[in-house]
Amino acid sequence: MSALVPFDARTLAFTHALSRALSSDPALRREGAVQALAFWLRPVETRKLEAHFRSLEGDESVLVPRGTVFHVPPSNVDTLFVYSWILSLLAGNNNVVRLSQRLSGVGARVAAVVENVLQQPEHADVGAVSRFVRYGHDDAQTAALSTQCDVRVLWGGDAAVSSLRAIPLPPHAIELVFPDRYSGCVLVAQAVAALDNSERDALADRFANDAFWFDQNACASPRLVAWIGSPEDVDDIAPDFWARVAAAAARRGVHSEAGTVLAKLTEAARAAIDEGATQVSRVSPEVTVVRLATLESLRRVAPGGGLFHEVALPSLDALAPWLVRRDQTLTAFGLSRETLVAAARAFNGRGIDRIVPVGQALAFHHVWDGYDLLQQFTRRVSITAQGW
Amino acid sequence: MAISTPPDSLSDSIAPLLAVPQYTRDRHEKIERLRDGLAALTAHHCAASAPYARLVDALFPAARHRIDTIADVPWVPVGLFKSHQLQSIPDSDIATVLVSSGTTGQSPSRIVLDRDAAALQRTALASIMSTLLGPKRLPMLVLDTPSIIRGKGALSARGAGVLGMMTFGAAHAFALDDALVPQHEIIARFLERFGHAPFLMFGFTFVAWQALVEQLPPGSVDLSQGILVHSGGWKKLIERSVSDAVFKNRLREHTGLTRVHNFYGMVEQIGGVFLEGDDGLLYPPDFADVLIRDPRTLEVVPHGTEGVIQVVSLLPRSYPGHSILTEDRGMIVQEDAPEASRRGKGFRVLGRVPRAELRGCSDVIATTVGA
Repeated sequence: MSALVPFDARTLAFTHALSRALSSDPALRREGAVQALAFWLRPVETRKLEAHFRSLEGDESVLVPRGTVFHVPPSNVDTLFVYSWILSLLAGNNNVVRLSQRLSGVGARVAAVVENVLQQPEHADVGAVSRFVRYGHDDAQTAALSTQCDVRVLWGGDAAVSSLRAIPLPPHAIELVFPDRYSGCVLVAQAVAALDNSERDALADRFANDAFWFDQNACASPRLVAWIGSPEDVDDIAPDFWARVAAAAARRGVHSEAGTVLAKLTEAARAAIDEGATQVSRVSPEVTVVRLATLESLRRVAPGGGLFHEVALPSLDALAPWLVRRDQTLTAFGLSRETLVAAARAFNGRGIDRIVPVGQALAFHHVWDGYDLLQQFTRRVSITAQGW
Repeated sequence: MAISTPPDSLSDSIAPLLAVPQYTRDRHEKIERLRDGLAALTAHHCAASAPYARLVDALFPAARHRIDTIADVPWVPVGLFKSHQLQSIPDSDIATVLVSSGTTGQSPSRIVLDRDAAALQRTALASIMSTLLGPKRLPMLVLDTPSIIRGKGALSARGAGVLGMMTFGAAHAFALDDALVPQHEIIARFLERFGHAPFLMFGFTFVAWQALVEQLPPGSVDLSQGILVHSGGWKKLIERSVSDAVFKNRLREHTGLTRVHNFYGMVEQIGGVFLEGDDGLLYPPDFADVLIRDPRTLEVVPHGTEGVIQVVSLLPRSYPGHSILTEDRGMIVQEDAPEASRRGKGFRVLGRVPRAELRGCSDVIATTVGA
């Protein structure tokens, strides 16, 4: 077999086969996150990725694979290991993907489908550069695999990422880390108020999609809602919005168990004490909203499961002083592209890696947490024109 | 921080309820006193604890203006005591700090008492226990190791429990060694002296089971005159398929012990001690009560319906723990039932509310680091 090159025909044949297998698997047909993945693996999407990849090369450089990429994805976001591995595979690398022993349910089913497609003879070359290892908390294993890699990719909570980062890498290797993040949503109060009933419901549906897919615990799920408008504007529209979000959650079959309800209440009580929350609204068992007067003491702690903080700000720029590097995604409604671009510049690196419309918080993109993964999974060989 | 002295009405409301005997008050009288006392405590803690006042204002804004029923009294989620040391007294008045045993990986709760609160707690517990033990102190066999009460600094919950119960006994003997193995000689000597007349035994539920049933040969001791008071989690026993009925049957078969009384309480709420009656139900004393709330809507549910247990007590004045939403499930079986030996609400504790199991990136902390 010859080594895979970036966007190798064999890789593309495989990703397309995987897309078909995931979209036709009876056990996964209703899983939104998996179907989004299947969609992302279709030929039309990989062609867009390839076009982007070629545009990165430029006249004076060539992008080549880095070698071997060791992926340590989180165990509990069912599909993330596929995104990380596929982008690296498209870039032409060998891959070792650590799967958690706890992988179960949807994640385990996805892994089974992946394995099944890889075992087909026509995908043998891709299978040869895609190793999946399943082990528990075992630093010796991680250390052994780390010595063999050129890139290590760590996803997970801060504590997990920090303890894994302490495990040495070869001197030349690079590391990409995706630790805990915090995300929010900006809504222009008057723009929401201007919507008719069905449009408001649609907005609430999209918001619920962002919030409840992973029990609000995906890095990109909104936990803070920053209303842009006067306090009076916000008082007018916020209760209506949250009632619609609660209804949307109910329509989606979200059901907070007693443990989740109590965890949200306990955290809301802490918010009242530590963050100066002025009002805690239990809109429904699924939706608890903590109103803050200011973001000054925001702790960015949340149990997930439908606990939201909200605040009224006079403008998007007013968010800037409170942003920290941990802040990842802003979903937005009612703001122009120019406003968003200006805000991203005004934030000037304090935080925020992506700004997307409400409803697309969890849509995976090859630029993630500020990295262009296709670029990170390759080395740039620069070639200067010959001649003195 | 402004500290106000508790209004006299608080002492006025609790004194009659503490006057023995417990479990005899007329429902309406009890409820009125409780409501008024709890409302006064709410105002007291709002004035004395700024964090508590913020909590009430954010979560229970209406309660600042009116409290019509016990159900209107603001509650504190029990988990808050793990992250916050709430207090309504200045540091200089702290006489005792109670620390919960806490599950692995969790911070313990810390509860501060001043001298008055500690004294009131003793009186209250005495008024409850006297309904079981009579007015005199009985000889007492402690089903634990003597070192449990010799801890340095803050007492463990188990140590505090043992120490608290010891005040109701006399001529104490500790039945177990540090490895919780029964000390045959000590037990034999105790029974020789006191085993022919009523005597008191106290131990944590699992410790008592292990010592009396698993480690002593059947028939080797005669505890037929004993009164066992036990408390603590059932989790370990449920793992061994030991139900309350099995617990009592085996104790009777093994040792002749027939008087066995569980009690339910938590370090987070002094005075909230719910002792098991002869009918196997737990009963709140006259200065405390339980409510059951729907686990999702948190509305109070009718008797006979399972839900989350809320406990209220008139005792906590040094910290705002007079109304606590627990993480336990329970059900009120009957109230002021004519055939019951005790008045008040007879209830059962049905276990813990399952911890929230949520998906998502953040969960990886527990998975990868804790695994």
